[in-house]
Amino acid sequence: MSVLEWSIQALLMAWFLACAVGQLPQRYSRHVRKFDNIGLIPTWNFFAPRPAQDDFHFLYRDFTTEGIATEWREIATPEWRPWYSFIWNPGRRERKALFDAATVVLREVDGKDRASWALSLPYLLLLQYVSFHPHARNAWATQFLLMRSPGRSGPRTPEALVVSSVHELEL
Amino acid sequence: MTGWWVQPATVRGLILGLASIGVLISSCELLVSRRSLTDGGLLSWQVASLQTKWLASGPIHRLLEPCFRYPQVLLIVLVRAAAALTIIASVLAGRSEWAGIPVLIVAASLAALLLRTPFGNDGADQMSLVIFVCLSTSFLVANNRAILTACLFFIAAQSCLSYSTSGLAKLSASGWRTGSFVPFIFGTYVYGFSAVGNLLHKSRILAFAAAWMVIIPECSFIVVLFLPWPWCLLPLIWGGVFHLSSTVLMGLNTFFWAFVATYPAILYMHDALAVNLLPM
Repeated sequence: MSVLEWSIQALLMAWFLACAVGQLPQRYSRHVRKFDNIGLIPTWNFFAPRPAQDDFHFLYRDFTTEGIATEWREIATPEWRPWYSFIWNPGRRERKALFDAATVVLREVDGKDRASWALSLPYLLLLQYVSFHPHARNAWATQFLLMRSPGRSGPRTPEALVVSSVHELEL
Repeated sequence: MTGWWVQPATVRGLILGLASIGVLISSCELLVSRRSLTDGGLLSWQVASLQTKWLASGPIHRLLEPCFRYPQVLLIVLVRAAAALTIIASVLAGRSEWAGIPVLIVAASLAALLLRTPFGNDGADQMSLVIFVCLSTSFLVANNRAILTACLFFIAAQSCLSYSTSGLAKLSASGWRTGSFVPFIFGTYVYGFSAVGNLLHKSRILAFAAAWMVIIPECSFIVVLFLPWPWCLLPLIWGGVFHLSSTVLMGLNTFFWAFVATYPAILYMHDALAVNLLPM
């Protein structure tokens, strides 16, 4: 076998070993994942150990210069997928992004002070997302609210999870 | 046994063809929902670039910024779609050995988009990246059976690792063991299906059965490499049905293509093990 063949086989072996170690709990796998920003070490535990069992709701409101706080408005209200989503599902990635951001924000909020988690990447993403949505006339600041409702049919009562700080808008 | 699955080049072509269908669908979906890639979208580069110091500033940022900002990033998605279409065409024409450059393009563009943002990606993206990065190495040295075999073994092993990991992670959770998670998963708008969710909420036995119909096959999937022919097809049939069900009931349309694409590699590895290691 040539040097090139040996090298490629060794590389594939090392990659596979890194992937196998990468499936272990984070305290063991964090070293192999440290420099992996593109997902060469995948995470294969789909829907486990704790799967998605709730829908997230993302709302925002504005504060006007008249001292009024507007009603909470929901962005992209969750709804059942269209029947053709088994072939064509373009909303899938955005829904997943909201789910990912919400999940990480919840993890950040747990046990940390507001100053820390308000600078986390998913928080900033949600804030940016809200900032680009239409705002009330004379709005000088906005605030977002993350809620969750359990996955079941019939009436659902969403539970408030995280309320952001009040953030000034660029006028 | 003899069949198409013992010819490594044919196996590679089939893997690439199937995986490319998923990549093509995913790329077209992203082009249609391109608003999410803008600065105000949930796949915003402006925010995601803050994930690490070297992405936020410095030479790597300056190199990536022109490609990753919107609307330039749409070119990456478009090129990826075109490359996937080219691969499919070459496979259908029986000329998959010419697909080296499009395979490299798909691998690079998958990696680029996964680097661009950590949000909104899923298992299908991960498996597609693994497949295309791995198989692009097989094109580096044309007609090299040893390298191609190693690549196919790698893909088969990754596939087995993915099912085993997923199964064991489910086995570790009491909500999966009792089946109590299942009705709630199918009750969500994001991954659910209302009729199935209602049914599973009403019947704990059905929810229990549904959970174990996933846990057991996932945990034992690796036996596919060692079962005698034709019993080795059973785990693959289960996998096909499982991913088809996930597609229809949960909207995970690209999972089917990414994971079923690994099955030809599994058959190839199964045959190699049967011939070289195990008694007939």
